[in-house]
Amino acid sequence: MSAVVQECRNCRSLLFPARLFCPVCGEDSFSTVAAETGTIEQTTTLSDGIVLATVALDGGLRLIARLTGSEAEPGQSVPLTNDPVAGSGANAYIPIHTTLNEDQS
Amino acid sequence: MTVSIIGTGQSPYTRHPHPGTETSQVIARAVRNALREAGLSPGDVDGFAVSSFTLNPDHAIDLAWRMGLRLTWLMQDTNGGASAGGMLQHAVRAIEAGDAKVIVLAAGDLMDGPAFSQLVASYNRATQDHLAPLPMKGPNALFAMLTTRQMEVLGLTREDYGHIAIAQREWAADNPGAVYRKALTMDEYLNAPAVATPLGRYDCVPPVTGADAIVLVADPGNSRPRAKVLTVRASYNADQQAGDGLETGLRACAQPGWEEAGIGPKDVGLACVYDDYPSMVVAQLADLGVLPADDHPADFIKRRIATRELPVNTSGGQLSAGQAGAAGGMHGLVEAARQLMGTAGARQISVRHAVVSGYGMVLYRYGACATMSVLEAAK
Repeated sequence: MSAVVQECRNCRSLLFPARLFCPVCGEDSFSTVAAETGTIEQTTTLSDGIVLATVALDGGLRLIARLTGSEAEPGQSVPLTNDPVAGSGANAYIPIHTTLNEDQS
Repeated sequence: MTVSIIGTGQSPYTRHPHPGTETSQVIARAVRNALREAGLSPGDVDGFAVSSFTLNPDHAIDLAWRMGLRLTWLMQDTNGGASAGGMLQHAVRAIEAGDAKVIVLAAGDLMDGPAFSQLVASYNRATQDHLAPLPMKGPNALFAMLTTRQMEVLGLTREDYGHIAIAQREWAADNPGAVYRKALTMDEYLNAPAVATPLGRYDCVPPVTGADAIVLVADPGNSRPRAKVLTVRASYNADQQAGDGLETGLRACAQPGWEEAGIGPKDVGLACVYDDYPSMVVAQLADLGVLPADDHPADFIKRRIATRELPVNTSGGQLSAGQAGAAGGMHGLVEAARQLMGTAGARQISVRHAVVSGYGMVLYRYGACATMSVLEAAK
C-alpha cells in the first residue's frame, strides 16, 4: 500500500500537490514515486466524525489525509494510500486525480 | 504624491439574500454608497478594480459598463482575502503614475449555501483533486490543524482565542452592519458546537452576502477627512507551502512596510487584521510586529486586545460582521478608513494610524497571499 507523490528528477525533492517547476532547483522534469508511510502530526475531528490529519513524510513533505480504519494518534506512523477503502488497521487516505501522472517527461 | 481614501461604502451584509439577488447588484450598491460618501458621481470615476468569486460570467469591464463608468484604468483581482491590498497596491501606483485620478475599489459576493459549497469544492486544482474528495468542505479543517500547531508553539489555550472572539463581538455590538451583535460569553464560546476540533462555531466566520468599496484620489489638499495611504506591501507564495503556516507573508512585508510608512508597529492605534480564524489574528499581529516577539501572546491578548487598549477589528471583524466572500479582504480596509475619517458611528475611537492586513488563498495547507497597508488620518 502506498500513495504517489511527485519527485524532481534533478534534485530528488518530493512534492505534493504536483508542481510545474521544482521550487527547490527550478527544473521541470518530474517522475512519480510511491510513499509508503507517514507520521501523523496533527488531527482534527469534523462534526460528522471524519478525522483528517496532517501527515509528514521522511524529509518533511506534508500531506493532508483522512484517517480510515482504526484510530491513530499524533506521533504515530501510518501506511499511506490513494485508495479510500483501504484494508484493515489505521490508514491515511490521500486523494489523487489522474493528472498527477500526466506530466511525466 | 500621496493617495488617500475619501469615501467608503458597503452593501449591507446578510445571511439570507433576497431571492434573485445578483453579485453585480450587491457590488454596485457598495460602489454607490462609497461615491456618495465621497461626494462624487459615477461620471467622476476613471479607475475601477473589483474582486469577486461569484461575478461569473461577468468581469470587471461588464460591471464598469453596467455602472456607466468610462475608465482609463481597470483591473480584476482574484486573490480573495488578500485582494483588497493587492488592488490598493496597484491603484496607488496608478494614481501616482497618472493613469487615473479617481479610482473605486470594490469587492463583494453573493454567498448563499449553494455558492459557498461550489466555491469551496472547486477553489483551485489542488482543492478539487486532493482536498474536496477527502471529503473536506472548506478550509476549517486546515485551520483547525494550524490552530493546534499554534497552540503548541505559543502555549495558547481555547480561552485565549475566546478572548479575541469575545472582544470582537463587543465591538460588533456597536456596528449595525454586523450579522452577530449579541454579547458572546466565554461559556458560549467554549461550549459552542465543534466544527473541526479544536475549532468551534465562534472560531469560524459566518458566510454572508455583501460588498465593500472605497474611493481613492490623489491627496485632495482640502480639509475633508481622509485616510492617507502610507504604504502597501504584498507577499505571494512566500514559503512554497513548505512551512507550518504559522508565519504568513506579512513577516516579509513588515520591515519595508513600517520603513516606508515612517512609523513603527507600536505607533498604531488600530489593527484591522484578516480574521478568518482567531489563530490568524494572532499570527498576523505577530508577523506585523504589533504583537512583539518578546511579549507573551496569551498575556498580550488579555492585556491589550480584550481591554481595548489596542483596538483590533473594531467592526467586529469577519468573525462577527460576516465574511462576504472576496469582500472579506476589503472589510478591514473599509473599517480602518472609517475610523480614520471619523465615520465609525457608535464604535468611533480616537486614532491617527491604522494597520490593515489581508490574507488568503489556501493553496493546499494554508493561505499564500498577504498584504499590509498602513493608513493615516488627515484633513
